[in-house]
Amino acid sequence: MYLPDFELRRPRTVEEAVALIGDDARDSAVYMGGTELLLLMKLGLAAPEVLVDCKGVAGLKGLGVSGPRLSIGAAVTHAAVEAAEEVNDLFPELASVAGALANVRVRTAGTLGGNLCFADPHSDPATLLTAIDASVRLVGRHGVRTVAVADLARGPYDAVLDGELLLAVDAEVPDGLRVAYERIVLRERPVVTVAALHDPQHGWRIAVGGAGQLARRIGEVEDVMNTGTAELGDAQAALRGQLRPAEDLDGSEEYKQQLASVLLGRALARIR
Amino acid sequence: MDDPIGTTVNGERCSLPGGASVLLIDALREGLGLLGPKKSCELSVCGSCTVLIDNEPYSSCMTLAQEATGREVTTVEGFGRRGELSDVQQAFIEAGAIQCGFCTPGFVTAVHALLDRHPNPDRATIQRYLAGNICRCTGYAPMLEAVERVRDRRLAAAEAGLEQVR
Ligand SMILES: Cc1cc2nc3c(=O)[nH]c(=O)nc-3n(C[C@H](O)[C@H](O)[C@H](O)COP(=O)(O)OP(=O)(O)OC[C@H]3O[C@@H](n4cnc5c(N)ncnc54)[C@H](O)[C@@H]3O)c2cc1C
Repeated sequence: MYLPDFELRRPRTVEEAVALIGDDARDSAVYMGGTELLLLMKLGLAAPEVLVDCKGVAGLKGLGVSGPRLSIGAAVTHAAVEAAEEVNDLFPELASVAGALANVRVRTAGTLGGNLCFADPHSDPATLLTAIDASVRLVGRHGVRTVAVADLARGPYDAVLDGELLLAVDAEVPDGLRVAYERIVLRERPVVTVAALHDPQHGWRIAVGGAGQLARRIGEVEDVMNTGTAELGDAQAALRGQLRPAEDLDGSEEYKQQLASVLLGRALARIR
Repeated sequence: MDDPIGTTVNGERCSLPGGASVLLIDALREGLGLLGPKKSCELSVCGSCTVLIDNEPYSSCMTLAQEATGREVTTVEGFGRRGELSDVQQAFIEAGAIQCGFCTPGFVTAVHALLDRHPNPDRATIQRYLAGNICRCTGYAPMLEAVERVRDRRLAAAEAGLEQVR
């Protein structure tokens, strides 16, 4: 398999990048690790005229902590998230999710930002970051805006980006946070993902992803858990009816419902 | 962008064929005649095309040749010395970790990267690192054994102050 022809541009500043991405005259795409974009191009599902390689844009490789806030630049790879001391100290579950997804080669090349912008319902980090109410900073011709990870996509593979560049992912990690992350993988990407978080300030925050749907918080389950008296079975019962998984190569709707229920049970059992 | 790309492949300065859309695997196989990296799934799944760029593993089937500009690429041909196998290659033979051989270059390359990053890996670390390299013959147990042999030999050699062929 070969790639269709394209022009490769390498902006060095955010302004140059935005000018290239926002140029309506030409069909362009942000190119970071390329682990999804080149795949689509190989399969004939995308053929942008211009790839805008933003890995060299100043500032996008940054990763920093200030108090409870963690910020990860758009060009930071999964391997770098896995290895970063800051992440391992403040939010170790994110480091272990980054270190377990895909394979070592995709983790070396693929970025956290690219993962989120691709809006794949089978994303591990999107599930965990949705649970913790993380947000992303996007920059375009009209300036910078902040969007919750939960609102970054209208639907599967359909991010709300409007000629914009994702600059960084921001998350606030509260004191006393406990996290359980569960996934099940049959082929390459996870079929179902569950993140359960608890801390004294927010109570329970529970997100489910995969099963044909983008990750989202499941308020009904959170409410049940926040009563403080719920059994695992009550939480699992509250999840039923909240998911509308589609049948695909990973299995039937019923099978995915069952997986979600089992993973939720495992996650809650670990931190309750 | 038709300028040849200045890059280092297996320790030698060379130019890969230019063109933005050229994939690294094609530049290596067709441009330089390095046939070690194999085309199999062509989707970053199987690991047969694994090469190192600056000692980190990449799927050369899903990497633009341009990404290697000014960097150091290592294919399986770059391990060992002329006429002498690397310790990883030798251990693969000893452990019977090769059958049809198609996945072997990717595995050997990945194992070099693994031991570079984790000089004393336990079995779980080895399994996690190699989980993205697929073999349809061996059942994987001989590969794990081969990695553990190299690990143990390198640790013993380091203790004795001896050099191993890598
Ligand atoms: C074999 C395989 C297995 C995988 N398994 C998993 C898994 O288990 N779990 C999981 O979560 N993921 C998995 N993935 C997905 C992987 O995490 C993503 O491929 C990777 O993170 C994408 O990052 P990238 O830098 O390569 O993005 P690219 O391919 O470069 O870009 C992806 C998309 O996002 C856009 N984009 C990228 N960066 C930006 C930005 N900064 N601003 C605006 N738009 C941008 C691009 O234009 C493109 O549309 C897997 C992928 C593969 C190939």
